[in-house]
Amino acid sequence: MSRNTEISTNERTYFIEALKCGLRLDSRRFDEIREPQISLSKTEFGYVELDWGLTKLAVRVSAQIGKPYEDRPFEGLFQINCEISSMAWAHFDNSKNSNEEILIARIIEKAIRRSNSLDLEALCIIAGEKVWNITVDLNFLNFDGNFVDVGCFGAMLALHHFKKPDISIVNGGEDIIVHDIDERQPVPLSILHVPICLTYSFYNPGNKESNLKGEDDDEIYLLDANLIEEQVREGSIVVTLNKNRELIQLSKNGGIPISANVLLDLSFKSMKIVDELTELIKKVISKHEKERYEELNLKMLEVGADR
Amino acid sequence: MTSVNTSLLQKSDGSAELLLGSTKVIASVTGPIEPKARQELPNQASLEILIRPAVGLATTREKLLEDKLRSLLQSIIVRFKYPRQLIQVVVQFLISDSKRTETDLVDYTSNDLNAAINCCYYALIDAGIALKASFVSLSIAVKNGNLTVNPTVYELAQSDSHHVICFNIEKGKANKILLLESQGDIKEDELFAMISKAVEEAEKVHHEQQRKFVKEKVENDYVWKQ
Repeated sequence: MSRNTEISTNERTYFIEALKCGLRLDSRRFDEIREPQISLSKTEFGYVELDWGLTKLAVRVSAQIGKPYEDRPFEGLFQINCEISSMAWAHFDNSKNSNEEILIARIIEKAIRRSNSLDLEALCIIAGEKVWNITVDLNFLNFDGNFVDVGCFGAMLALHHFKKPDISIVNGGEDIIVHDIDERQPVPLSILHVPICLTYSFYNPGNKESNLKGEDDDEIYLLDANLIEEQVREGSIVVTLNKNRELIQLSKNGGIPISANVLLDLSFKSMKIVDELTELIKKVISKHEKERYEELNLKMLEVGADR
Repeated sequence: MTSVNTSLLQKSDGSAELLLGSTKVIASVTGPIEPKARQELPNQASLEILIRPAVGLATTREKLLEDKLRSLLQSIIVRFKYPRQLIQVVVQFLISDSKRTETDLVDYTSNDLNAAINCCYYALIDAGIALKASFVSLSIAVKNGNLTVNPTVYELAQSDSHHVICFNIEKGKANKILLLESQGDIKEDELFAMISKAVEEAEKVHHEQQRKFVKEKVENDYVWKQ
């Protein structure tokens, strides 16, 4: 395998010609995402392995107790680590962060952290003294395009799966006790909304001039591009939405110009997929919860009359 | 309990996922590829080794593990076969069993190191990199003269001493020690007793797991020849 990122002219032409005929190399529709394969850890909270086509990702959420920032005494800490190693692809350098890598990290960070999807105030234990520090580690194992969408989805899935140990405050707010997860049922995080990123890649099969002038709208938009599609694309946009029809982020960094109508059209089209993916997270998590409930016989722990 | 899965990463020449006790690790090998100018060695392959922790970013702990792994792999890979080339090895811990609780201050790295070494063996075989010999690593805890192979982190914490020992295996026999990392109190005669028991164990692992794996792999890879 080589680090060479170029693809041949033949491959490129073949791909564009196929697009003109309405075909993608993996026979998906233009607005179809690859099927995510999810495996949630049964033994620990917040560890998720995700296969999205050939793109592979392992996500881990962890919690520690730390001190809040002085100017924000009521807010917990939340960070997302998103370093891409050469395991994913030899093209990614281990010693320095490429622009591509930084861009991926920024977009995911903007979608999740800066959109306030995690309730930081719920992470406060003692104001100004002790707060939970939640860390999401995104470990990309294999690269076949679209790290942004996969990373964002994986992070949200893992945040839903994660539970932090229960705590009690003793000595009138002086000390805290962290209860072992075997001793007391751990508590899930409070998630305010579920941002979903969708990346569209653009291709211009016609000539450059007509695209610039905006004469004809024959540009092609592909959702969830794989590696070859990403390498051939002439521009891309990340649309981040949630189920409440809130637009969280539109990120277009260069590439060919697109018309405003297309932008609206893409955002509308995205809603259906956002609903599907949000539903998928909910479904997988509740199935997992149910299995765990039955496996551990948690029913036995429910004391008192059910009201 | 050990389970191995290989060739699961399409963008690497070789990859292996190893579940050993409660440690889960994935390793990828890419090479021989073109090195950066500063990595290039005129008469042999250079190695780039990266270890990534399960939680957080790599620290000095991972650098230390990298260094131990490098010294081992350097002596086992036939580096003169790939002059002016680079072999990249990335080890990513997925589930780590190095601390008893998350707030534990003592970090027992021996299970991690052991899993990383064994995982690298399968990944290197998967990538088709020439090796001088096979190697088997064992994590051993000694308590009152009794040996526990592949101990849990609790067993490590209660042991008198614990060791990671890696053997060079040629013709099915362990003939050299490639690496020995020991921690705790142990007398010389106890150490020798531990090593001789470890030899049996390592040969067993080689015959029961590694050979079986290589045989199956060659059979599957050369299925077109039949």
